[in-house]
Amino acid sequence: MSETSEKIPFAVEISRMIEVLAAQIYPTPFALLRENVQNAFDAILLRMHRGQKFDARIDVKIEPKQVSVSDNGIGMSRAELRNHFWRAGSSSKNTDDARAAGVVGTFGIGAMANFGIAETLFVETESIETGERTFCNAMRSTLSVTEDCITFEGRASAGCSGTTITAIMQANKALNVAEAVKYISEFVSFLPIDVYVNETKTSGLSIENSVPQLTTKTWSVIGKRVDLGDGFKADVELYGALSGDMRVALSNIESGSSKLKGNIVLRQGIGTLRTFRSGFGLATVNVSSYYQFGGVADFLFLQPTAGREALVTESLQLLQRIMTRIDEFASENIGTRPESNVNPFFVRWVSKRGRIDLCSNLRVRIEPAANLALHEVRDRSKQSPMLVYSGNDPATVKLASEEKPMIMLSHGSPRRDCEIQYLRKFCRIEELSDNPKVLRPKSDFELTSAEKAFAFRMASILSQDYFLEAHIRFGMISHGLPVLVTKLSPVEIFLDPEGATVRIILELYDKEYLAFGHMTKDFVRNMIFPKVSNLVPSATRQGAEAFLKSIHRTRELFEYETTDLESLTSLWKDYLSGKLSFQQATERSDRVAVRSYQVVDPSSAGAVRDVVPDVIANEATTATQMEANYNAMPPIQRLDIKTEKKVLTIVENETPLKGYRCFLAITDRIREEKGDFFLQPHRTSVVWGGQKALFVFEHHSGDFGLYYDLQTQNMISTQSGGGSFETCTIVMKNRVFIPIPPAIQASFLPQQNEKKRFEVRCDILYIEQGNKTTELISH
Amino acid sequence: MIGRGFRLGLYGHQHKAQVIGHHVWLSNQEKMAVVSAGSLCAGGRELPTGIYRQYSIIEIAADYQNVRVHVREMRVANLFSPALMPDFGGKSFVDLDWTLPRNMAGTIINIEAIRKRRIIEDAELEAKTGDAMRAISLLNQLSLPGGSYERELLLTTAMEAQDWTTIIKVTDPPLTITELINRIEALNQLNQSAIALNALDHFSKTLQLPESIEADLRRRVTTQEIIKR
Repeated sequence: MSETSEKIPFAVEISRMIEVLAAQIYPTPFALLRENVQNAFDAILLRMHRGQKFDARIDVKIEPKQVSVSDNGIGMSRAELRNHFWRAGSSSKNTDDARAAGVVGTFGIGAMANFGIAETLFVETESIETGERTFCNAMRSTLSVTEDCITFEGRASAGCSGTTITAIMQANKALNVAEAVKYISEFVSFLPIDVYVNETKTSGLSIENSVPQLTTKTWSVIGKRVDLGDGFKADVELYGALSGDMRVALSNIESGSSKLKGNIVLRQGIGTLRTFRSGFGLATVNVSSYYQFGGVADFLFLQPTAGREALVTESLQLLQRIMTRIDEFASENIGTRPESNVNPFFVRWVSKRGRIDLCSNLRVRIEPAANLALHEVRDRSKQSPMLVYSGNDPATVKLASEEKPMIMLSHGSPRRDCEIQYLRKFCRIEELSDNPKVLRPKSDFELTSAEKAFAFRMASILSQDYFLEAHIRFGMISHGLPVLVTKLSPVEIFLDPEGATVRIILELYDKEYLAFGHMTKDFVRNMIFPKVSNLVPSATRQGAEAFLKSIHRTRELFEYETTDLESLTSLWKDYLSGKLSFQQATERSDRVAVRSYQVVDPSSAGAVRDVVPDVIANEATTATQMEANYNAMPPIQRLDIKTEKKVLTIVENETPLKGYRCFLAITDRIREEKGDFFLQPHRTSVVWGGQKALFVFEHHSGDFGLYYDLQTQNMISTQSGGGSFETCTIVMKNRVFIPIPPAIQASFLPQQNEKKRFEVRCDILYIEQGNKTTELISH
Repeated sequence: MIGRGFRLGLYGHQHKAQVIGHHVWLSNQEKMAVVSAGSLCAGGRELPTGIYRQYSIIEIAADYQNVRVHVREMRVANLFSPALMPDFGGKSFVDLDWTLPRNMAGTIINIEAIRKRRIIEDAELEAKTGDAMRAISLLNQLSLPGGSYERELLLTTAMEAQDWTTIIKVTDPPLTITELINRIEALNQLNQSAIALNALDHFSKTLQLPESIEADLRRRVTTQEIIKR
């Protein structure tokens, strides 16, 4: 070691250290009360354990600046004071004897708790063992591990053992007496000895009585050494009430070969468990129970943590094991009782543990108005299977009758699961699905004339307009549905004659026949087509190919080779990928697409209500959804009506048609060549910019589309815009009207004395898979 | 024409019976029949050499899928008799068929179904707009299966038009209670009491006609009989 080097001891500021430690370990300033009372109680237990008969008593005096705790327990000798009381971390109670006596403290840090808030501590004690009476005191501010700081003073024996510890508070600290009394009372109220706090007896309450009794007991299970499973046995008192509540008390618990001294008293729904050891309060803990059993547990095996605010893990685990057994015991017993029906905790337990066999006393609702316990259902179902229904469709429920009652499953989980599992396992049942279904189909002979006419007309429209052969039937449909597709091949569609729209159409047949045909067409388009759209041929590639063949057949001139058409597709792809400008793309498309012109003037504009009078009203009656539908939809068909108008409008005070107020006829030439396209279901997309508006109608199949490009003389919009729109094409005998989005309709409505001239290009646009028009447009 | 769905073309001017099966390849192979008739009363100079005065009968099959063209010619004196047609293999007739036109979905058009549908729709319109007799006459072309709309429409229209004969014809036998009641009413109206009572005897049980209604109907028939006397 060099001359400059030296060693020094590690120094600790004891007084500060103890204050800090005490504050860390004991989160409440009242901890000194609890620690001193607990030590007093332990001293009495130890004295009792020696077999002495005496009137055990603890006196606690609490003043704002001073607390004293006196007991007539075993007392301490001078040596014990020196070696244990004044030596933090050393306890004289870590012995088998002490444990057998049931002592509570074993950490040996009780003295330290005082210095959290006390400045001076006086201890006067007389040992039962040596008869020595010793008085000592220590001051926090002078505590030291190197200096003598605790004074010891021998005193004459008083002839009675015991200890009095008096703590004087630090100058700046004072106790709230009322709160302190309340605090210590909770720890001592169940002690079997006399404890006086400020001269009021605070102990002697019964742990058993601390958990409320059931007011109306309707059943009980009482037994000695009842096997609880998992190696546990105990004396059990289980009581149940009409309300389903349960209260259970266990004592003399055995776990395997070891006996767990103490008892536990629980009641359903309390949730928290207050723990005790030899009646002295420990911590309040949460032990998981399906029944939320809570109450008190007083066991010698319960080990508190150093700060007494919790139990050590081992203790909690053992408590949890006991609680699990109690849950099972309670379940198995309440399961035999009708009260189980009203105990939701029981239902949760059986569902979680899969003990469906215990559900026989659950009651299920039966229509018409009744209820039965599941075991009664089981017996009854032996004669004939019972209907079970899990939904709440009123029309389905009406199927129930006295002869064929229906079990209505609960709507809440897990009760519903328990019910259905029990029914499936132990009863003969017929389950009614909650899927929509036809409840009472009508035979052809039962139909009214109007129903037959409607069915015939619908089948005719489906065949003619959609190439779909379907059998239309009538019957009551569950869930209030007006229409239900019940078979796909061949297609079978049911209509509920009580459905609002169906009823209107049936009345039209009888009372206003001329409106019947159009309404039925609109009904099929709006209410039937969406349900069968994937079945109609136009939805398939084959259907698309057949249609393309058909449209080619009607073309009088075959000007364009496929390569040209493909170049049109690639041309627009180039535009979308940014290789070409909108202007360049349209210019080049001139060379490959059909070109024609059309002129509209005020005389060629007419109102929708005049030209196709019932379209708006029918739409309001038959449209099924409020949100915009961008799927492929068939056109509105009025093939029996002609018009010379080229623009159709809906004025501001009228309801728009799917949001549109303006419809433009496509040119005659294009209609003749490709008008059939618009009879097929299609999607509608529109983009515009400058003097151009580009309509792309994508075929239902998604395989091809129709490109309709309009060039106007004036600017349509200075900014490009557009996207997907709802299909609302109107096909008439001599016209096909396409909808004009409101944002650009002004460019298509001729003002007074104005002639609007449009240059039109149109052709088929082939769409490769994965490159659908709607996607293209949305770029 | 093939593209537009034509399947049988007739032409003349040649004064000679001829047939051609015409094939056109458009998007798929389609075929139509083209037939020309001879000349019924052309003068000897107008007729091509070796060709007699001729006429043809075209027999269109019920399913519209083929025709048989019969050729008759005036070979001897003023008598027309079956022609001996070298083009027809020495026979007097030839069978021609074609591919049926397809609809826009690519499926073969069911012409019979369309025809039937149109008749019913036309009849419905006539019935609803006041020409009941026209409706009845249209519907009478059809077979009228039980429970079908066409049968219902015909009976309703006939009842409204008091066309008792049609009702009696269609409801023989009656298939529902309503049809039985209508039948009795029609027979009653036409004073056919015996047949009416006979119908009640035969069908009341099988159609489960309520006894009270049966008794009522019998009363009416009997009363009608008394009035008639």
